Amino acid sequence: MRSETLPQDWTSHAWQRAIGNVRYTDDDIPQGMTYVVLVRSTIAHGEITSIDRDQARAVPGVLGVFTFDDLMTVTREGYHGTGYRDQPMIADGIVRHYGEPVVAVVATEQRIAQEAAQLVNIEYRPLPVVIADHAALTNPHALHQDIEPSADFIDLKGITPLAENPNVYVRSILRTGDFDEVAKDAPHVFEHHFSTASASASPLETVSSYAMPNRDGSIEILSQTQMPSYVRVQLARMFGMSESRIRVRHVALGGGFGFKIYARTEPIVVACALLIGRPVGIKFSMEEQFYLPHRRGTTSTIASAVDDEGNILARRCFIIWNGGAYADVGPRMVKKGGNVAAGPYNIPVVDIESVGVYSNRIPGGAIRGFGIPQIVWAYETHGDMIASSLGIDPVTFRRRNLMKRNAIHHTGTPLGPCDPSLVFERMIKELESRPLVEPDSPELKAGRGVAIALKAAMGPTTSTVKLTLNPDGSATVHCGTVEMGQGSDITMAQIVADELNLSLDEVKVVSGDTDSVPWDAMTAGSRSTNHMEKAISRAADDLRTQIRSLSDSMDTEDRIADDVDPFKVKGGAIEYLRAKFGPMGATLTGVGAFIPDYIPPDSDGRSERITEFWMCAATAVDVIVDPLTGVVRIDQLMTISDVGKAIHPELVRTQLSGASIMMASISMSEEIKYDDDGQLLNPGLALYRIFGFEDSPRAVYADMVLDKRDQVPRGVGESGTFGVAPAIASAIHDAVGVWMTDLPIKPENVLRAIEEAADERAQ
Amino acid sequence: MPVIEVGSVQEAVEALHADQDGRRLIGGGTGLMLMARSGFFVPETLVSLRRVDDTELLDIRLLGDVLRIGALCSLRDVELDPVVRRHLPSLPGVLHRVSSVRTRNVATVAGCIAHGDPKMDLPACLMALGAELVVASTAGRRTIPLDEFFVGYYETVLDSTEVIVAVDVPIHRPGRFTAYRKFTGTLVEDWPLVSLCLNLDELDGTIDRAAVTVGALGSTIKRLPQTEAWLRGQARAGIDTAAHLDELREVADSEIEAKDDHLASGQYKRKVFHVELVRAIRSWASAQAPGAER
Repeated sequence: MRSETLPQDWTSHAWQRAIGNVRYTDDDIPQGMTYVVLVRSTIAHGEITSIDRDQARAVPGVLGVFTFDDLMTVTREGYHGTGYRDQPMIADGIVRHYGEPVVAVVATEQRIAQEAAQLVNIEYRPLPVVIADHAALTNPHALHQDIEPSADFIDLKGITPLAENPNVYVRSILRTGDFDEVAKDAPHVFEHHFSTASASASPLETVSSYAMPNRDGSIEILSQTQMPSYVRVQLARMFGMSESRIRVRHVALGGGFGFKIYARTEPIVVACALLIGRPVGIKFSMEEQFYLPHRRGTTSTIASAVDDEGNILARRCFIIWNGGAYADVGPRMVKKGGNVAAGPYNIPVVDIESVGVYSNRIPGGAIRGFGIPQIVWAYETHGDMIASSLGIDPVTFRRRNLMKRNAIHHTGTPLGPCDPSLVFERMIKELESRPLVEPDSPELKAGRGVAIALKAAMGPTTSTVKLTLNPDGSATVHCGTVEMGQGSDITMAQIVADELNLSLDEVKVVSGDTDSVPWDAMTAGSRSTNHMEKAISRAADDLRTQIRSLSDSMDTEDRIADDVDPFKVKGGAIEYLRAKFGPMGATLTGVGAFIPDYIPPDSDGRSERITEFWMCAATAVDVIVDPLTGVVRIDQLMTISDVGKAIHPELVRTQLSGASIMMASISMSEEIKYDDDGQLLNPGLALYRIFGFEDSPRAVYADMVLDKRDQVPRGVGESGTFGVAPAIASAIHDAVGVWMTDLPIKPENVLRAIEEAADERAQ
Repeated sequence: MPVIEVGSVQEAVEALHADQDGRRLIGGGTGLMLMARSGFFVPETLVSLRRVDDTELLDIRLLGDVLRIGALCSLRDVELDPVVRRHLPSLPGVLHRVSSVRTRNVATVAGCIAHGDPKMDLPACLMALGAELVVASTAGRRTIPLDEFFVGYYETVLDSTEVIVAVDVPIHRPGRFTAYRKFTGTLVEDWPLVSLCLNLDELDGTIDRAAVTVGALGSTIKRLPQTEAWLRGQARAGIDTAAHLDELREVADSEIEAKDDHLASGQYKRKVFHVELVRAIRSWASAQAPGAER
């Protein structure tokens, strides 16, 4: 029923996207739109002492120049945030990061608002600036006082900052024993330190949102969002409106990557729209987009007690997540990242402490991989360094320790069908048929590295879906998953087609409007396909139940037998609809909802059901290193993932390879740079350098492990990111014998390591 | 921002002369646009050369042993031109690595020189080739050797009332070897962290004339006279012995400045410069002897 190649529809849609022939949000802006431009702070931390707006207000075309207090005249709750309500819509008397919005200038045209914004004068009383991870942890001044938890999400219930250090907005512990006890008798103990940089997601379609107030007091929002349902809930809360009076619409996104989540720009446009009684929109340039929450940097220490054969006896991890000025989704990342910090390895004793800290950086958000790449960077490189010190081959070292399917994870939750060993072996086998490249010049050195990693699903969140059987037996599914180039529309259509025994062109997917599409928590690689598949299945069951009850009310020979699925026979279901409702039949709508089972962790971080499913992936990288300049080029980049059931194998492969290339760019080239005063040094793609087509590896390969026993789709969008960085580091070591411990991997650092190693040998 | 569109060089110099402080020439605008977007420099009034149709500014002509490249030729025009390919064979390769095709379609030769950015590839190469600028103003014309053109970071000797009309570049001759090295670090397409151009004239197996330029490192693109003096008289055979290269390194090192910035430390840039210089010299030493090529 399903072919290995993608359906014509998707291929032509993908092509249209590649040539920019898709209608995006800004292509259909509602009439009468006015624009808000934000005046942003020019210091990283300070009290606002004065705001001079007179000149700005006098510019013709300006409709308003608003501070937080002005916005609050139409707002009930001015603060928002995923874990804590610590972030005001725009600054409330104090700025905590460079570029924080302070004043909102609304004008008839964006250009006018921009000119007027230049005329707003803001004075600050500077406060101490803290940027670095460790400095943030030991900062004696609390960046926030008395913050209120959001309590929106089950997994973030009960979070609280550390009493003794309120800059630690969450501390997560996972402990299965006493590391020191084991370490003191162990033959070997290794400890290493790692760091990662803040990095962006840079979707090419830059963020925008538009708010249109209606005369009856209701409001419509058109926004680039991966979470329309959540945005509606937040806006209802913030503006004291009924959710039924708020309509959030979206169209397909030009890249999301976790960048377009939670309610970040929508509250501002709504508040401005309510203030002036006209539609207000906001559109960011690529440079300005850099002030939105992005991938956060980390500092970590990881230690392992190991025996002579390389069996890991105990592991201790300490991770600092530099959350920036506002917690945003940091609390979830701190917990989830901490949970998997020991890696997919059978280790009897793990002792993990994961802390999120406030600092004066731009807040961290939820970017593809959700903190896992930062975690894997540490444990995989650490593992390779251990293997190397003990003279054990890194493949053998992993084989000795890797978990297999059904293993019990350190959290106490079984892996189920997720099988790191199987994935790893598949990769090793694949590598046998791919020889390491011979560099063109004798000066260059080639090397190969492999990594394996694990991630949990997001949880627990809810997906609901509405599945309508049309009179002719075709189907319409109202599904809140947002198409952002990952192919969700066609994936959901395929799931419905499979459930109802239809062809793809008999299924319509409707999304993009909270007036008709039911609740879905968010579109993310760690939940959407899995949760929607279950919700769709339940909705289909609801239809089956309804059809059965229709059939029950008919003559016995026309009834459906109890063990027959009315959808198994093509056209079977609509027979009953026509029998009941006449020749033209009727529509029948079923609903389904899914929320995973979840057991919150105990005080040691343990739970038998901390996640609905696990995802794992192996990455292998071949590099070519120029030992005289430290320049590293990636020759081959290979990903193999365990995705459970693949709805569209070709789509899965493109997601895996795309994620791996994105992560290669982040690992080698991307870093959001701050100076000591917290000023952002490189916003925009002219200064923040990402891979271009010519930087793509010569060969990219991606595939999945398919297990016939495993009929549940698991996450796909992120797995390609997990192991890229450590595989590169391992390959560099293979090539030139040095270890890189800080991301991004820069030529200067590679060269320094090579020279230091040469100096050491000389001594 | 007001834009004055002129149809000729004459109109352009008159427009500039009329307001000597507030007006700025724009060709393709690629460099100026980046500055304006970052807020670094926003011109008051632009004098756009887009509609200028003087053939002098749009043509590429051979004048004796010099190729006169019109100021408003796009980088892409120059990259693809068969006359350039024939008489300045090193140029197309250099231009191919400048930014992207989209940028090269729009950026002009004069613009990328007048911008005064030490990271520009074309001026670094042209300086080593001995290029001269033909410049017009209401006072008439003058010629400026590219060697003397750059005086500081984004600063040139061009007056605010002057318009570059063309660039005269001495053409390739037998025995000449030109190599441009652009070090971009991790990415294939990027601004150079270090760039250098080696232009050697060989006679009977030794270097008769040498021009070496370095870009991206300091505040301007510049020649390295002491390095050039060291190269003069060096024989192809044996130039890349360890002893020779150590000497060369010392000489060149004294002529370059390399500051720390957020991209890399000055120390690293210095190391890379030496690697690139040696690689450039070696590419000459291992190239076929003149007469045998082309």
